[in-house]
Amino acid sequence: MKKFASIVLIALLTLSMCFALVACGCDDGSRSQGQSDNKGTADDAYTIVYVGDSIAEALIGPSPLSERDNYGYFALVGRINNFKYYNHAVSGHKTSGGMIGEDKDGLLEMLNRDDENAVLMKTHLQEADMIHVSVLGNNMLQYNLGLLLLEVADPDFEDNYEAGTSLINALEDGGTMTRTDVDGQTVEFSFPPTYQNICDIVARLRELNPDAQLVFQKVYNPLYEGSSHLKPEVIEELRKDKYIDTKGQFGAAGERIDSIEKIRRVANKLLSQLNGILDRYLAEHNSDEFIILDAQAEFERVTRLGVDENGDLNLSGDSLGRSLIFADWTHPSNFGHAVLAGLTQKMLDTLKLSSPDALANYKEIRVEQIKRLYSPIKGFDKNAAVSSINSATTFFDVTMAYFTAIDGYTPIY
Amino acid sequence: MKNTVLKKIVLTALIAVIIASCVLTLCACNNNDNNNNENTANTDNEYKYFDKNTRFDLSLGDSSKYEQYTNVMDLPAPIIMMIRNAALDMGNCYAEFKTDGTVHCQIQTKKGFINDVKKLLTLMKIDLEEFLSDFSLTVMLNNYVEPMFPGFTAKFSTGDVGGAMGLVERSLGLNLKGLDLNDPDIKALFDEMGETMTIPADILDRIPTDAVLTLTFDSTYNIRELTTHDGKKRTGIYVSEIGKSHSTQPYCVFSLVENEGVRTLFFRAEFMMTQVYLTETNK
Repeated sequence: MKKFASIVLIALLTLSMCFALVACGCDDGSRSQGQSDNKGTADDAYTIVYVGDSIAEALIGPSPLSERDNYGYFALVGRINNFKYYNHAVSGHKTSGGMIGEDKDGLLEMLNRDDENAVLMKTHLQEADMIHVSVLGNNMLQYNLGLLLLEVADPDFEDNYEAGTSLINALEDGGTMTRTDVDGQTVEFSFPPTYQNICDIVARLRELNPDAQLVFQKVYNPLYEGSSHLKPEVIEELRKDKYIDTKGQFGAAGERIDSIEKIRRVANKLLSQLNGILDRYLAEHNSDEFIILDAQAEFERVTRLGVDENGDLNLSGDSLGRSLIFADWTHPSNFGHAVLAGLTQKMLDTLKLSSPDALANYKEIRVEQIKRLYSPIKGFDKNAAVSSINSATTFFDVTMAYFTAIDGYTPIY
Repeated sequence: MKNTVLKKIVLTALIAVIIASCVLTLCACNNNDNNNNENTANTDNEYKYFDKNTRFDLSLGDSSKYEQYTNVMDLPAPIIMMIRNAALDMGNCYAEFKTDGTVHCQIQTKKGFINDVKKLLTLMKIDLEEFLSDFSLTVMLNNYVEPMFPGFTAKFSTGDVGGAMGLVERSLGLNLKGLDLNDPDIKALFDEMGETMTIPADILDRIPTDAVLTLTFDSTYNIRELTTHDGKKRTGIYVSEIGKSHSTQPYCVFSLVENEGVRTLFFRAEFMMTQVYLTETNK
């Protein structure tokens, strides 16, 4: 029943989000003041199309939601580069199958649809210059994350994996396995064949558009101290003798998994297995088939910029790393979206596809937000914020300048 | 059918219909003929609007078209009909597209819907208290509502429901009418919710039985003639300013189809596995 209540809760939230999304940019000026998406965008502009899950869809993440097109990475990248951009990502989508049942649509099924309505997803994919995919997260997060963590923390994991008896084998290749949860309940895992789905997704995208640059974004580690994904029972279980880290994978050899830093390393191992599906594809196919955006590494890099007064890595609830994640402990926050946008922007720079005005455009968006959302706040130093943003010389510096300036302030909107 | 399964179906259906209604409200769009512009007018140089105010009624539950055009989270049609009949005033669930490029959408409950909903819950042997005990208002507010609408919780927790809803209204153009927030009983209800951060099990008993709730949404729209990659024509209604620039499209895109002189709007919300449609009315 609790799971059902969660579904209902999600449904209620989506209701709010639907309204919000339609409302974004409505004629009261709440959004339109912040937009510059028609600036110099020609009909033949470079076109980027996003598909995948809620991370790309950016319904949950932007705060306030009415700022979705200023915060969501899909829009940020599109707007600052004067691209045409379309977001066809769907919250809850796995590589195949649905959130409620495996017979429902996931990304793979959606890619096989015709353009029966005016959304024109197929047309956009066929005419895209770049197709940007974020999809693996739900293949893991829609299952019992605690048991998955315990699975990879097990000192025998590698042997089990080699024998094909690990949950990760089922996650990668599909199939059903059962485990006993820490509370004694039997849990059934029924995974789609993730690796084969990725193969099929790439094949379908190539069929639709042989020339588009394909980009797959890896899944980041969302675990920090206090995460709702970490049930106390799981934390307690990880501390037990059974999980003593004999190989020194998560700390010094012989130590217990007894800190958030070590638990994050366990999660990183799990994510490396999941994200490794993309690496495996490239290893077994044309290695140029798609570009990988390593969001896991980028979030880790930013997380490691956060140290406390003793110089120790800060993974607490108010750490820099935690601020990458939305309040729900899962989706990217405004800051997280900006970091993801920066990751794509770096790739575009490397490919020489970015606009020469991208940095200036990015600054313009952030300065506009400062003026509209924060300058009315008593005590907020607008001039210092604008100056800090305008003096930044890199995308990431603009991001840091903006989010440092607004930290602790509630926007007026 | 086990009682728990039944509960799930009915409760999901209740939520789903509300969502579907809202989506319809949001999407309440209008369209023109694919092949001509006789019912649209060009304004703002390139953006097409209807040349006369055009209303589309929510067609939720039209059994002749249900299987083909409607899907609310894959729920069986009879469930949707049951909930529609209990809760919605279908004559006042519509979207109206105006010649000035604005669109007004609304969903309205039936007078006395509270009693009908209570009867439905009783019929289905659903224990609302048990159901609500699984909800954590604190988690919902902290994890979702507050970040989506910063400042909401501070107002809500101090009983300023009007202020909290005002954030939503000012931000999104969304309004809920029909509850008198100055009514002592309603005020006491929200004060209690703000204080305890729970939804009282007797919430349905504390809303006036004759209450009529209307959810309204106002935005802008523009009509777009679109061509698929293989040359087929589609007509879309883009709701909101986003998409006007041709650099992207808004979240809410309605598809307009005309068959035998009847114009119908379709909207699909992928993440809810929901598709609904609205039919042009002469009202």
